[in-house]
Amino acid sequence: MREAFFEIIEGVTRHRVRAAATAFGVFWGIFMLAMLLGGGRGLRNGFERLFQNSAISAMWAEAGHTTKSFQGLGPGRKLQLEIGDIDALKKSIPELLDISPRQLLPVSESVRRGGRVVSLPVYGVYASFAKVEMTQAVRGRALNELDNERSRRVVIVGSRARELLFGDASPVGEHVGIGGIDFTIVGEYHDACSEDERRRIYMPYSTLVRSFDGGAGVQTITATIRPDADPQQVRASVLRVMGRRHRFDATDVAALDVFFLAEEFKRLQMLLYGIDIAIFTVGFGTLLSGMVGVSNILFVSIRERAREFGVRRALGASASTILMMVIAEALMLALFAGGLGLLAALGAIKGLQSLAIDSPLFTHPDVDGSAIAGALGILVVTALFAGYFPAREAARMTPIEALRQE
Amino acid sequence: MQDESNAGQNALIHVEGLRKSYHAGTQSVSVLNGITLRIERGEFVAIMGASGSGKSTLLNVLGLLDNFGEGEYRLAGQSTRLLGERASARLRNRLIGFVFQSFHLLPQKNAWENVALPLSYRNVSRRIQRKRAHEMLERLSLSHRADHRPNEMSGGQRQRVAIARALVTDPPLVLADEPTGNLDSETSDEVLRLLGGIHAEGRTVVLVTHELDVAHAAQRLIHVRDGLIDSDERLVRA
Repeated sequence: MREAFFEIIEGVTRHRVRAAATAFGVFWGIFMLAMLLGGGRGLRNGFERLFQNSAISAMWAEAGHTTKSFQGLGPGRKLQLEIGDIDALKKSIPELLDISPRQLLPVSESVRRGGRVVSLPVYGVYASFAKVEMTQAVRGRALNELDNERSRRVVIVGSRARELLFGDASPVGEHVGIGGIDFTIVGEYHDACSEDERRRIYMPYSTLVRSFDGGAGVQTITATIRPDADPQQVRASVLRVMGRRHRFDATDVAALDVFFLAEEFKRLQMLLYGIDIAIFTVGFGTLLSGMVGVSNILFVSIRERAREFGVRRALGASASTILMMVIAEALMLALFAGGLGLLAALGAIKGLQSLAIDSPLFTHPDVDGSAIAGALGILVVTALFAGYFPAREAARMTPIEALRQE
Repeated sequence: MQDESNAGQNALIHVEGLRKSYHAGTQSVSVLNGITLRIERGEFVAIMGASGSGKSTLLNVLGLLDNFGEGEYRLAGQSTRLLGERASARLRNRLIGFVFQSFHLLPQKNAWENVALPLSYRNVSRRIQRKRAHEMLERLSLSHRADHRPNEMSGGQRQRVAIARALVTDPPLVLADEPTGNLDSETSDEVLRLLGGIHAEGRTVVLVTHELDVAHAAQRLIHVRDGLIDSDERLVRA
């Protein structure tokens, strides 16, 4: 075994420069494959983070303009959502859970704390909205149903809003003025998705309506849907119920924009699969070209060594011994160069990780164990192919044919 | 008839009606045209013939380096006609030692590694290989060259290394194809003395040459002409 190993090393290293050039092709192939896989993972991590702080089952519905005539009403009407829609949807569509209105105060409203005034978006929501947006209370508590029932003058603030108003200090129990009304901060939440979402302030919907004369208007209806519900069927049900209430054609999808995160997530997953396939194709192609180099060089090598194979055959080596010897040389070259390429790629990815790139669409590139195992598997299989055909040519000659080669 | 059959089975080499042709495109060239030959254990046989007479092809077939078309070839009593490639390799390794005109030493290996090569196909440990190779080199007065590569040795030394390699597995048959063809007369004599010594140990030696002087080192001289045995004579040493 040891003898065979040395024989293989000797075969590979006989022409060092040529072997090194060939090895570089394999090195580069596996390096590119691993880097692309790592980059693809970074891209996937970035995209998935976008969805991290919203329930995948979330539904958002916003008023649009009708595009179809209905019951004598012409197209182009702007819908006005109202709080009664929430109850109607809840009663008619059992697939809808955690339904909540979301109403934004006019942007002109500023938030005041002592002498500090900051322009921040303020929303009125039900307690159930936290399940749609998946906001996590990091200090104090979240809004609850009693806050809404009693129209309490309480708010929760995002972590960025807290920084702007209080610096590093805890805002819980503190007071802020919004539109000249005093509100008590009962909690602080964090949203990893974006800074924009961390600037928000939420108060009970009923408080917003009563305090700011918002009437019963609703800008957005939010909900989650049951995990087993089909978004398309739920959309049709929502349009049917809302169409009856607001007198528009239930097939007029422009009248009410009903958006399901699950559908977007599915589309994104398809995109990511597409990117994965593209990455794999490019990476595998690069590796394959390296392996074609190995195969070519082995073809050259076995022609040069034909007489050696003839001598070996004359002295007792069988054709299969020669076959295995050449394949083992291809494997050794590929595994050595590929192993180095993989190590270099892992080092480069670690380097990228230490740079802590935090783009909205790219974060924490990584290559997991299964990808490494896959890359090594591809390496071994392609090396076997790269070695097999030259090996077969070497083994096919009779001993005397091989001995007669110049 | 019975006796003849038994005799054939006892002979180390028994060839009957051996034919071989080469095909080049649509043309077929007959090289061996029905050779019948028997070589007993312990014989020293020289095969002579003009270039293209078929003598080297005959030696290659006898050495299982090449296949043949028709006829029968029994080596040490075993029919080689339907022998598989792997079995042929095993027989070559166990029964035959080769000495080639151009030595055929592997240039990347030193003398002892070249000598040990046949043992590596017998799953012999590297330690034993080294020991046996050094013993063979010592026997051929080449101990001091054990770690030298072929390009660091003279032609005579290379051929002695090749002879050591042929003998390292202790084969009963040594086939030598023009072993002195690339050597000067002094070195040729030395190689022939070595082959004589190998024969004296009881081995069968078959030598192909086109030089009569070389052939006279043998006990028996076979002339091949047009792929057939033209003459087969016993030589009497002076």
